[in-house]
Amino acid sequence: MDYYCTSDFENSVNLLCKKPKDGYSKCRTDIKDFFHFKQFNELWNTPTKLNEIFPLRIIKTRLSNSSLNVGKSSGYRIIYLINSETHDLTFLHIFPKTGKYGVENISDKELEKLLETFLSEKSKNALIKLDMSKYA
Amino acid sequence: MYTIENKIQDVYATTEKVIVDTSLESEEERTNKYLDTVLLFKEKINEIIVKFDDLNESLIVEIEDSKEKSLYIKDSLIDLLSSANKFVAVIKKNHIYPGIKSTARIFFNSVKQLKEIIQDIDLKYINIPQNEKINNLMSKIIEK
Repeated sequence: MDYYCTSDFENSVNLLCKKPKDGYSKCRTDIKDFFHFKQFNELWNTPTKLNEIFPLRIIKTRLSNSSLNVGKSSGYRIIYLINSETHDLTFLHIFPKTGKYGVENISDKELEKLLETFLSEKSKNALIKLDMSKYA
Repeated sequence: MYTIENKIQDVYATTEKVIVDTSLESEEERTNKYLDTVLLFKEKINEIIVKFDDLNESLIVEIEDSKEKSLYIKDSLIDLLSSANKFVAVIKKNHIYPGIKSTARIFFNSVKQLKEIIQDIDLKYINIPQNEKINNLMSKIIEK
């Protein structure tokens, strides 16, 4: 399957990885560890499914944060859009639950903006293609 | 000859000894009581953490496909969150809080996770379905 991300997502990851003292420096490795060897069906069926209009699903899932040595519940939340026809997965957003940049949750208004960015970047062929095997 | 000066000195020495002994004893007692209370609190909080984490993991699966069930249990979850938040306040105000901080933090995170699950029920079954813009955007994405 093919992995993409929006510029919003890339910017968030860059910010999180910037300073090791913030406790998110292994963010890319955590993403790779979670997604790299998973099959499409597993990622399609991962909770929590926020919305679905076939063949698209918006999923919010939990990742552990190995930098802070915390499990999924206190780790990261990743929002991704997955397409069951093309088998594409696009990362829209990532936020940590705890630490300096800790965020409680995402709202539907924020989700609107993420989808607008996705649509705009997809229209301009500006989505960033990711090689999960080298993502770290 | 046992003079009044000796008597005063004797009483003074005895008093001093009692003061030292009792203060040492009560300090030791206080420390023991504090440590006992810390251990008891940690044990109780750990019991609750195990139950909370088990519940949270089950809820994430349970809310995935059943709107009716999710909305049905939401009120009970709000009651549970309210009770847990009261306990969080009790822990933070308690004089032993510095001694149980690391265990307490794990519990606070479990409570935050429960709060997130309740928010997700609203997001998934109420806010997003009512948000026309999101659904229009997804339809446009499919057309692309």
